[in-house]
Amino acid sequence: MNNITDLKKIIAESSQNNKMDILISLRAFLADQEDYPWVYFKNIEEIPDVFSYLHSKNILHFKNINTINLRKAKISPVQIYIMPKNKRLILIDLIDDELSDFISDHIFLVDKIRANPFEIDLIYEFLIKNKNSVDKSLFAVYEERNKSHKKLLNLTEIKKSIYDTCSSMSKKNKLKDYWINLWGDSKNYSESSIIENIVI
Amino acid sequence: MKAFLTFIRKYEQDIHMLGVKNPININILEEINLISGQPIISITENNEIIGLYLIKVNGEIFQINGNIDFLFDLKEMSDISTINVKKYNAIRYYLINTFYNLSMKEFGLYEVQLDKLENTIFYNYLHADFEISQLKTILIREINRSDFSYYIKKRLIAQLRHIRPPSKKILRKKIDIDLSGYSIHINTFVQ
Repeated sequence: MNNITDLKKIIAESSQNNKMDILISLRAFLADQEDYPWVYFKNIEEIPDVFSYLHSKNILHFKNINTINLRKAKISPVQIYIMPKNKRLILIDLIDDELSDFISDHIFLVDKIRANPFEIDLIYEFLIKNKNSVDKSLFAVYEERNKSHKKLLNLTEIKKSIYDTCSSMSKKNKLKDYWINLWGDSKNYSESSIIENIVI
Repeated sequence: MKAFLTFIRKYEQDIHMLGVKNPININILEEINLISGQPIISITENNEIIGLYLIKVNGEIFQINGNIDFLFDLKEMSDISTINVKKYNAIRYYLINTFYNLSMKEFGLYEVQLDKLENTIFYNYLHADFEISQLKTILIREINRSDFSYYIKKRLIAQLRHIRPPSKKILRKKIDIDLSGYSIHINTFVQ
C-alpha cells in the first residue's frame, strides 16, 4: 500500500540515489503512459543506436520495464491506477522538478504516438529539428508514419466532445489497436517492412 | 453554496443529478447535451443550480454554466459519485468491450442507437441496487430490448458473454478530476 507520503519519499530517495529510471517509470504510470516507448541519451551522434534500440523492442517491452522499475521501488501499479487524478498531478509535478536537471543534460525521447494515435508525434518533430544529423532512410520511416497517422485520423472522423460515451471510447480503442498493429510492433520498423510500407 | 460531484440521470425531460435533491431550476440542464451516467460537478445555492462543470475522461473540467469560476471560492466538494462509482465503472467496462465487436463503419451507422442503449442502461440501473455479478444478465436483457437488428443484437450479446468480469482495480477507480490551480478539497465521506 503506497500513499502519497510514501511515494513522495520514494521520489526524493530515487532522485538522491540517481535512480532516474524509477522516476521516469513512475511518471509514465502516473500519466497513464506506461506503454509509451522512451529512451534517453547524451549526444546527437547516438541517434542511429537509439533508434535501432527503439525499433527492436515491442510496446509490451516498455510496459514491462516500467512495471519492473516500479516493483524495484516497491510501488504497486494498481495503487497508481486507482489514485485520484489530483494526487497523481502533484506527484507528476514533483517528479518533473526532480528530473529537470537530468533532462537538461540529456536528450529524452518518448514515442507517444507509437502506442496511442491520439497523441502528438514528438519523434517526428524531433527528427525534423535534427534533420541534418539523421539518416535519410530513418527520416523517411517517420515521415511515412506521420502521413499514415494523419490519414487514419482523417478517415475515421473521431468527433471532439467533452465526454466520451461508451461507443466513442470503444471506437477509440479499436482505432488504437489498429494503429498499434500498423506501427506499434517492432517488426513493422524492420528494413524490409518499411520498404514494403513505402511501396504500398 | 455547495459543490457536488455526481452523475446525470436523464431521459427526455426527466433530469436528475444522482444523490442531489432536484434544484428548482433543474430544467436548465435540458438545453445541455448530457447523457445518463455522465459525471458532472454542480454548484448549488438556495436550491438552485448556479454553476455546472463537465468532466473529460482525462479529468479536465469545463465550466458551461455560471458567471464566475465557483471552484476558486469553495473549500470543499462533496463526491457523491462514490456511492455509484462501482456500478458506473462496471457498466462502462462491459459496454466499451461489447461495442468493440462493431466495425468502424458500424460505429458510424449505429451511433444514435448505441448512445440510446447506453443512456437507457445508465438511466435505469446506475442508481439501482444490484450485484455486479447480475450486470451481464441485465445488459443482455437491455440489448434484446434495443432497436438493433437481430444480427447486431446477436453479435453484441455473443461478445458480452465472452467478457471477463471487471477486476477490483477497475471497479475501485474514482472519477478523475483535474483540480490543478484550485485549493478545493474533495470530501468522499458522504452519507
